Amino acid sequence: MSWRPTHTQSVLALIAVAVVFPFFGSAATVTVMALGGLYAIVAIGLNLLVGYAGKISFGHNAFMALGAYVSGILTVTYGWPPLAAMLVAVVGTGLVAFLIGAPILRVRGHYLAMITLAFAQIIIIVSTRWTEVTGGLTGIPGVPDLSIFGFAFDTKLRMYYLIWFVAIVLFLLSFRIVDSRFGRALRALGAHEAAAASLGVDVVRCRIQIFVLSAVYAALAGCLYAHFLNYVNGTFFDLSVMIQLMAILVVGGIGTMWGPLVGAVLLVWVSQNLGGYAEYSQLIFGILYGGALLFLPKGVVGEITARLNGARKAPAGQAEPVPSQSA
Amino acid sequence: MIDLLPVLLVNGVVFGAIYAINAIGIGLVYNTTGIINFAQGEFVMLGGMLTAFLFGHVGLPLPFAIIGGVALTVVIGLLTERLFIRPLWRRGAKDWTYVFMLFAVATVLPNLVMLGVGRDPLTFPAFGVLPSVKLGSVMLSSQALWVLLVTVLVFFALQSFFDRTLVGKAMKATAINRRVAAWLGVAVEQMVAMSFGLAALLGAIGGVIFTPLISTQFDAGVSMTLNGFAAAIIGGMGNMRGAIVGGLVIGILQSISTAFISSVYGDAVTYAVLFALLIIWPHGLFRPLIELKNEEI
Repeated sequence: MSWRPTHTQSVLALIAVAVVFPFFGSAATVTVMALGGLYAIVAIGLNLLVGYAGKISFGHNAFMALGAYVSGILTVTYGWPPLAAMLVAVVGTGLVAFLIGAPILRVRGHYLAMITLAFAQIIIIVSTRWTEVTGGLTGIPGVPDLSIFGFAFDTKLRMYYLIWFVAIVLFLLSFRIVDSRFGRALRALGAHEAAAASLGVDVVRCRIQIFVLSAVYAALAGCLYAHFLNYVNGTFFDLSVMIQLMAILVVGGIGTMWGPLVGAVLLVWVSQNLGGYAEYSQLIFGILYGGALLFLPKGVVGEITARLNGARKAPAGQAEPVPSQSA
Repeated sequence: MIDLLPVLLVNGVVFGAIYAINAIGIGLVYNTTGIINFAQGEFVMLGGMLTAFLFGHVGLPLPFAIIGGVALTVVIGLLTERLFIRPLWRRGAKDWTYVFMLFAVATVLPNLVMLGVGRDPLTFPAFGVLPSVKLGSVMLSSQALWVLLVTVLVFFALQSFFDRTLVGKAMKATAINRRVAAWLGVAVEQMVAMSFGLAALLGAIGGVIFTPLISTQFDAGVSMTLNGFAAAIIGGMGNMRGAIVGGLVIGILQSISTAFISSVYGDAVTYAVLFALLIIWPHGLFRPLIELKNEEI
């Protein structure tokens, strides 16, 4: 196989599939794929953090929850317009991420993973028990539809298009980020921290920026989630969500640009089709991504890219295909 | 409220003991591998649950159930290393891969326990034999005394293991400089396996002495991991004496904060304390055994 799609062709194909899909899918599958888009948004940010900066967060489910709850509370309890609420939710979550990241990311090792896990536990407990504000286990029903400049996203189909529009914009933006000066610094520090630092990369600052950016993506997805389901509930954002996000990253391919998208679509589809096995979803996703770490370390996308590269380079006499870092 | 303080302190010390054991376990794995063991709390849960299962469902006498529960947990710890860590190690995987993998283990284990043993909290009777002791106005139950006694024994046993035995010294050497240890003939892979086995042993012992006090459940592991980690950070990673102090600090803070601040939020209060501690003193209060070393694992 010598033909390999160019970047533009791939992106155009993605946009075409996203636009055309609802014409063929049932209403139920459109809802599922809208969820897939939401997970993709979070995974794109998380992938920048893990795959490029080499740091782990186990708290992105909590950032989603923050986005959703702030949106829900401001619009339902205080009657704010959705767009203003969303702005506050996203900026506020970014600020929280900064307050967590700034001290912790100065320390080496994987302290961020542990502290974000603790943070997520706090958020989940508080969101289900602080009944006066969060509605406790009942949550916040009646979150209004999102409307932007008078156009109401009042059907699941419209929300589907909005969500995938945001996902694809962030996806394209991540190419820009990875290829920018900042992105090169990021990749350098993911590859070798000391080398990056000695070349003048402000390692701590870079890490904090990327962590905050990824939290903002998660908050944005959380807001959209709230408006999509017109409902917020703490159980939407429990540890299983984080486990699913990790499965998305690993199965899709960490450190590949297409990985988060492919992983999100694949795994959300799987999770919605578990049927009677839904109870075992944590187990299934845990085994899935543990197995992928062992047997498919580059993920689906990394594996396909490597095969394509290999197929293309083999005739030229190159024995060892070198997987491209920014594929 | 203030007359409650002695009781809360004693409770805090007893809870702190288990966090200290956990912190030591986390430190052991961290020293030989540089990996934070996210599955440490699961070993505590397994020790308690498997013993309770062998005692309650299989009907073994308590001492045999305990031996069985601990042994099974150690086997699971060793298998974790052999099946999930060593392949990554041999491949030269990036360091976040280990954290992801251990998190997968920490996800799968409780779910398997839920499937096999069920969702209900389980417990087994206190060991007895030891009397309960009256400390001033506070009654220290026999099981609480067991907790303290076993913790002290574990501490001294580990200390002499590291100071007196060849294997212990080899493990310590691996912790200080893995590459040099390998050059000097230490079988580094075996040391890593051993550190996982020991961490599982410590976790299981913790689970066994603790379960009669408050029972345990399939999902009890996460909070054990977090509290143990907090204790390990305060005490300095891998510093055993520090781990004991860290465990006591967390235990007492938890006991006092849940009593005086709020019990509605339960663990959230402890996590918030942990959170604040980590943000204020990310390097802990004590020196780590090894100052953070080469990043490559």
